[in-house]
Amino acid sequence: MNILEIEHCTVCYKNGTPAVSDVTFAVREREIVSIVGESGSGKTTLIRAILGLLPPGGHVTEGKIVFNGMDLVTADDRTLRDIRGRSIAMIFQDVGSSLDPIRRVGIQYREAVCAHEDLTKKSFFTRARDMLARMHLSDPDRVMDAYPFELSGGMKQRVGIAMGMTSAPRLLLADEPTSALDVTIQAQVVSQMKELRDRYGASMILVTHNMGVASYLSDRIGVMKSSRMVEFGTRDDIILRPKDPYTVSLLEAVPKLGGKMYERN
Amino acid sequence: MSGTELDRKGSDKDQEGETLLCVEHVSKVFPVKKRRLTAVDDVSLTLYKGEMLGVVGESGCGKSTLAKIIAGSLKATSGRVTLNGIEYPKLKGTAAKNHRRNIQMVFQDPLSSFSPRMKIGTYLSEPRRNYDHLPRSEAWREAGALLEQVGLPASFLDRFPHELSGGQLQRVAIARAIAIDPPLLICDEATGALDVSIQDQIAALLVRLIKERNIGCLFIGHDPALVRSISNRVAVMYLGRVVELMPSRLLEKEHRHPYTGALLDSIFDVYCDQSAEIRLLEGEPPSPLRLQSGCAFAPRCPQCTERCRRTVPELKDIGGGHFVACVET
Repeated sequence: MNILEIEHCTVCYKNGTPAVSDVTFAVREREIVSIVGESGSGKTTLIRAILGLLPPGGHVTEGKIVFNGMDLVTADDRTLRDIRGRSIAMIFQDVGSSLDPIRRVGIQYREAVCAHEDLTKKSFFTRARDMLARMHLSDPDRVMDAYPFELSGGMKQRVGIAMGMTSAPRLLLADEPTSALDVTIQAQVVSQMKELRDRYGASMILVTHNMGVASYLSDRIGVMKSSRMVEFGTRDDIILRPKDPYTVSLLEAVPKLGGKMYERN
Repeated sequence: MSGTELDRKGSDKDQEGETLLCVEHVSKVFPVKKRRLTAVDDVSLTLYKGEMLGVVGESGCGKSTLAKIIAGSLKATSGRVTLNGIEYPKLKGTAAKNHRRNIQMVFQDPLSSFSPRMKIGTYLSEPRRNYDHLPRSEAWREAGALLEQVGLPASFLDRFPHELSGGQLQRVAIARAIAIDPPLLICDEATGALDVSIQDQIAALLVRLIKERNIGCLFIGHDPALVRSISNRVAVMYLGRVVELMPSRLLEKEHRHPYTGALLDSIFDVYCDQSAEIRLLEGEPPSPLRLQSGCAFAPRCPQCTERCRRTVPELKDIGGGHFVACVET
């Protein structure tokens, strides 16, 4: 069953050149799809378009984005508001900068969740605490009482994922969720994202430039280059049997342990 | 952990040559609200002429502080740094100014290290005009040749930084750093802001240039896979200390320190097995404000023993140019 279908989608900014051109793919239930590509390839624009979160001047000019039988491109603001956060949630690259620096994390967490759901204070706290504990944050109460600057980057990122997952969305959009993190913390966050899929059965679209993370987490991978999706297929097809020369060069450029040493002669 | 006995025959070859840079027992302590933040803790390193020494570690491990001390922009709290036998941080006046040309640096974010109103040509001719008092026209001509050496057309001389891409700017930054033939080049996360295919090109360019010009290079990074593939030897830092130092090509098979192992385990290989569990290093590095006694890695170490909590391990030579700071090896 497809949960999201993107058909011939084109997104343009004010200057008229498309940031995403004619992209088609679908996400199935319980599936993790990664969109990989280099900066400026349009991958972030693509997932922002799904929730109608394009920066000013950006518009979907052609194509459809169908979620649950409904076209999100033509949906009105109210429908989109209902979907955002509840059915489709989003995690951004730098959660730290999307938190208000002078308010405690718990208040902001509650605000985000209660925008979509009617919850009493008590039931919110039970759920939030449970969610933070699942993200392996050892002391959820301390985290809720803390100001953002009191938490490390990895902790804030996990709070962001917990906030996104609290309303148990059917689809999670993650825009470079681990790029700002150190490798050991990245490994922790990646393992928790995998656990979320296994436990909640949420589908995910993961935008990343880290081929290793995409390879580990994804069921299917799409490769984008200068606004087009040059290749889309199962993880094994893309990683082990890439067809497009761009995918091949991208895979070759990734430094690997035990891989090539740069020539010294 | 690879604890197997190793064939180390080939490994000594990597590091013959004359000593260029010598860092001896260098520490840097920053006062923070009446407390002491130890950013670099008793680090000793040697860099040979024409060698690329990689330094890898996570944010806050002190690698950038170490780079600044070596570059001379920070004074070490204790310890000695020498280049070709000269203790240059102690130099004063003209001697200090003249010595500065010997160490050049390339930074992480290319755009913010350029003046937005300065043409690429002006930027590139500045070092030669400043240190060698070359006339403007001659320096400009040399700048064109430099651009070609780093794989850019000489027509870029008349452009402004915002007209270039990140990878192109990083090439210009490298060109400027090598313009006055410094014996030592420091690259602090020089490819950190770039896409992988651009990173690949810049890494190949750096290796070629330092080989051609016999420059010693300190390459600092957070990706062990990249640092390993670009350098001759690699030093792993954790919380201000070097915990392991070894020939790069033996890194993945013969590392001994548990932190090095954990760092390598945290990398997602492109060809990884999806069903394999990730081996996680739990927790986060402790604050450098609250250093406990004993090994700094002990609280997160899977092999920690009582001895680790009491003694601070020294960096021990275990043969073949391999040094490790762990009580249990």
